[in-house]
Amino acid sequence: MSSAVPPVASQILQILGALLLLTAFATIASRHLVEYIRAFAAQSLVLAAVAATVGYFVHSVDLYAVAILTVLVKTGLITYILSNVSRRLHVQREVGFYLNVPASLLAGVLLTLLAFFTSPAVVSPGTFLNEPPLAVSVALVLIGLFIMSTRRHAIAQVLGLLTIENGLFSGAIAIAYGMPLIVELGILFDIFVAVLVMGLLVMLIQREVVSADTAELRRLRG
Amino acid sequence: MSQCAVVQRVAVVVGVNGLGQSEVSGMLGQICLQTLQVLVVVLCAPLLKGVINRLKAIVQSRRGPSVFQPYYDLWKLLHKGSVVSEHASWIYHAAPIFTFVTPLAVATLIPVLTAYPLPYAFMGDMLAGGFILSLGGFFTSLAAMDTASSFGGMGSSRARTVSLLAEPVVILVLFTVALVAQATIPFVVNQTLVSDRFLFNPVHWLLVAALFMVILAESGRIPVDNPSSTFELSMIENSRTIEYSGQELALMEWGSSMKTFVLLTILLNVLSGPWGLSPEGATTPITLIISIVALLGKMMLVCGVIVIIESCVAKWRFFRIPDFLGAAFVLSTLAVVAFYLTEKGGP
Repeated sequence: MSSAVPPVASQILQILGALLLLTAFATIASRHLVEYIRAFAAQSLVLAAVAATVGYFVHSVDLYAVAILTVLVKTGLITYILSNVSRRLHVQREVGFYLNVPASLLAGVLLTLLAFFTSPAVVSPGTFLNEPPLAVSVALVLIGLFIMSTRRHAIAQVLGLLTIENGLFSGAIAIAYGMPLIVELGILFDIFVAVLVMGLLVMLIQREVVSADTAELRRLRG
Repeated sequence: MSQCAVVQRVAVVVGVNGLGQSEVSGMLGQICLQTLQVLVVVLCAPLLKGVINRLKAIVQSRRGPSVFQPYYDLWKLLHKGSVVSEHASWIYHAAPIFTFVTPLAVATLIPVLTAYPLPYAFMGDMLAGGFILSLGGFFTSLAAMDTASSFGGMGSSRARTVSLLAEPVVILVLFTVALVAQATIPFVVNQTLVSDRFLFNPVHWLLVAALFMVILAESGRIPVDNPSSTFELSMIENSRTIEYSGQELALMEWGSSMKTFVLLTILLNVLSGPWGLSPEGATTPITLIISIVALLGKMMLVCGVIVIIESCVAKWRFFRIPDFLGAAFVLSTLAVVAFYLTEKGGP
């Protein structure tokens, strides 16, 4: 699949890649759960656009299906569940940090630079659309990991995990023009169930500890 | 409506200057163009504030003052005497002059009306423009502390903090522009940025977004500072001019609106869309009028964006300003990253 890529395609993908990065940085810069969830919804929309664009240029019906499913499951269902859960956590809407926002933004920039300088070495050139999508995916994975490790709110950590998943998804599109439809279906269903379970878990934590702040979970109970 | 009045006024000037000849050229023509460029900045700058206030009032379902209200205010202030503290030194009296003159100096360096450089355009590049503008801010801060009023000192300290945070973003934006266009002369930069290679490139628009955020911060617009605040403790920009009255206050306000006008001209005619500028060798009074209308039209669009932002967002806490300018810094850094990413292998 090393056909020549039309310049229009690579230009659209560059813009979408920049948008993906922007949504990831919007996540880093947010303080309220609502903003996290909105940024995730926007990110999934852009991701669906990436899938549809690549699908159009490599004539793959699977990728169209994947794009539609992404919109339905990620921007629709998962966003709905998460905002529902966060609405029920009356106590705590604001997210606690281990690292404040400006420092996090700088760290995010460093992670992005790392991704951009390492990803060309991972794959030999010419086997995928072009390098930016892969670098952006690696950056998304790193930023998701960063959010999981520096935000104390349980829901924010779930959103970090989802950002990592989005990164992997766009990476798969960049390298291999997407995975087989059945695999994508499995993954989407998997995340859906995972988010459901994690949502329930967060509600239980909230009921037990009166807070969804993971820093409170220090004592082991038998 | 407002544009028409301004155009008419300028058209009179052009009509006198370009009398009888179809093309404005030659030594005299160049001088006229240079003067006209500065005059446009001087005369149109207060209009920006008027339009923003009027649009904001309409969004809030009020009728609001006329768009020419800032002109009436300036006229009124110019006919009033001033009260000066007996402790004020020469700095206090020098600051209004610096505030008024520095934007005019920058206006000669940038493409306000013409797509080609006028004789004075080579006095300095964009970096020089940035420094000249900050000279005005420097004197305003000194003057605010000169009379030892407590609000002035607080305002200066806050304004310096904001500028300190905005500085790295400005520098990074300018350096990225230099990297992209291989030049820092605004007349070269704007042609490179709208060429096919960069028009839809993320680099270009990330830079525009970063610079726009910095302009909001530097001209004291809403996420950073509330321009219509009357509460001294929360002011940033206004508290620096709180000691001034009469003619000096008029110069200060006029100067700060010209600074905003010049910054927006840089954003519009250098970084984002230098369309409608008078072409080289074919500058006639008509193309000049088109240039002025185009510039004001683009300004109105930006005013619309500012009004939308100001109507949706409340002023942020002072300690969240680093978040705002940090985001601008991230945007400009991403622009550098995007440049290396998209242009690798290019010339």
